[in-house]
Amino acid sequence: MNKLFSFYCVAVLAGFLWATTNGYAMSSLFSNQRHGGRGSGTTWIHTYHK
Amino acid sequence: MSSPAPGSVKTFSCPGCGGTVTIRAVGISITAVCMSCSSVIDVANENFAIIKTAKTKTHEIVIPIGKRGTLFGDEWEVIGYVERSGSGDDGEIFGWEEYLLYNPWQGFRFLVRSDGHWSFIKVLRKQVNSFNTSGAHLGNTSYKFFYSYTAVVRYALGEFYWRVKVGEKALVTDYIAPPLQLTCEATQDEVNWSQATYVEPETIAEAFGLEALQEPVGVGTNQPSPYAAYLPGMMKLAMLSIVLLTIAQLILTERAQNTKVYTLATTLNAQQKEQVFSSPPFELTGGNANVELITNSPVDNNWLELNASLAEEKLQETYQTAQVVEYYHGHDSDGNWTEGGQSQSTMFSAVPAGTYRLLINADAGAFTKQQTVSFNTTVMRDVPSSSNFFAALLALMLFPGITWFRHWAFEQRRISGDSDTFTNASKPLASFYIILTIFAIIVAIAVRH
Repeated sequence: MNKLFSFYCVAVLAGFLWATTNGYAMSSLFSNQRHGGRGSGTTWIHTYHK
Repeated sequence: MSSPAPGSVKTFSCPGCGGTVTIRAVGISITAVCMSCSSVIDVANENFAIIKTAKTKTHEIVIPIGKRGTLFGDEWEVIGYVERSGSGDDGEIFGWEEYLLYNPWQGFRFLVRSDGHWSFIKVLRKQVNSFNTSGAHLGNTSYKFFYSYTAVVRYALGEFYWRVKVGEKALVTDYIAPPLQLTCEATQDEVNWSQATYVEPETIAEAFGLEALQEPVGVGTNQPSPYAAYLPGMMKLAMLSIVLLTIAQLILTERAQNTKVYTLATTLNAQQKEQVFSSPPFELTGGNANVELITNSPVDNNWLELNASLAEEKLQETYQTAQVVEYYHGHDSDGNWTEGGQSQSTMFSAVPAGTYRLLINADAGAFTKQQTVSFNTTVMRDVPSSSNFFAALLALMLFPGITWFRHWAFEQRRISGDSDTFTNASKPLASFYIILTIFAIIVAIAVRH
């Protein structure tokens, strides 16, 4: 059981390091935000900022 | 007069009913209870006088007298059977059965069955190191006080090395260190200490070649917790991981850029409600990093809604949010109250480096009264965030927490003796969901930071 849990701990720590160093923040999941994806800003840029 | 050889057996006719009475511990047993009529017979000498005539029918017992089985490497024969009941200060009355085992070379042991739980018991020749109302010590083991009660013999069958008497009372105190148990039995004449070891029912059934035994009910007095074996190791692993996590969080916080990239400070009126304001281009440097958009506005019993977008110029990727800054306050019969705040923030994850603009359009409660509203919106890059830390912290604590809770619930069942508490499969599951719900609430609170 504890061997399994030690793997779990390593996975949690690795996940934390990977997410934080790659700019992922858990709090963003609860922010009212969305990622428009590539090309999604075309209309905005062209309409409002020529 | 020569003593009988170990293992020799003696039979005689019961003076009460004429049935055959067998003595297996010849020369040691001093009392026998007839298997046919339950008369208590003095077997200390050849007269075989009846000490007490039978008043009760013989009981059916789980391991018959004369049955042999191998336990802990030795073969034991059941030679006696006693039913006893106990009552504590709390008025609780409970019963158990004791099987007297005999091996000519090892002597006597007991098997005790209580609510389907079994213990193998050896009477101690030596005194315990120390004992008091909280616990006892024997060798290197500390035993915790469990219960104290008066035990009464209710029924006996077979042969015994003491003068067994129905109705005989003893003051019993149990101390536990599962799977071990120390018991002190005090009568008017003597004090005996014994040590019990918990035995799984399957082991008893296998040892004596019995059919499936009664399922244990509740938690046995000295039944080891199934969680106790790995809970300490799990706690140590979790603590080590939390230390490493904290060190990593401190290093990552120290290394975060936490730079203010751009601030838009403006005042808008109702005519600008439909307009979109665009910032000059600004650079977000580094690799993938988070971006936090923080808006402050001195709204007072009013609201401001911003539709904001971070737009990358080359690939036209956008990161969009709707922020509502609202702050209300007043006074009622309960006193002063406030609601909301004058600041709002949004966190964007993994925003790649590049040239961005901030696009904003705003609506506000002030516009309905043709008033202006001022606000400032700041773009922060690579902000140290504690939400990942808290999420990882709770993930590390989740399984030790659940295991600890189940261990605690197991111990509570041992103390309460309540066979219903948490014994149904649904109840451990319910406790699991309760913990999961608490966990989810804590995560929800943590991720706000």
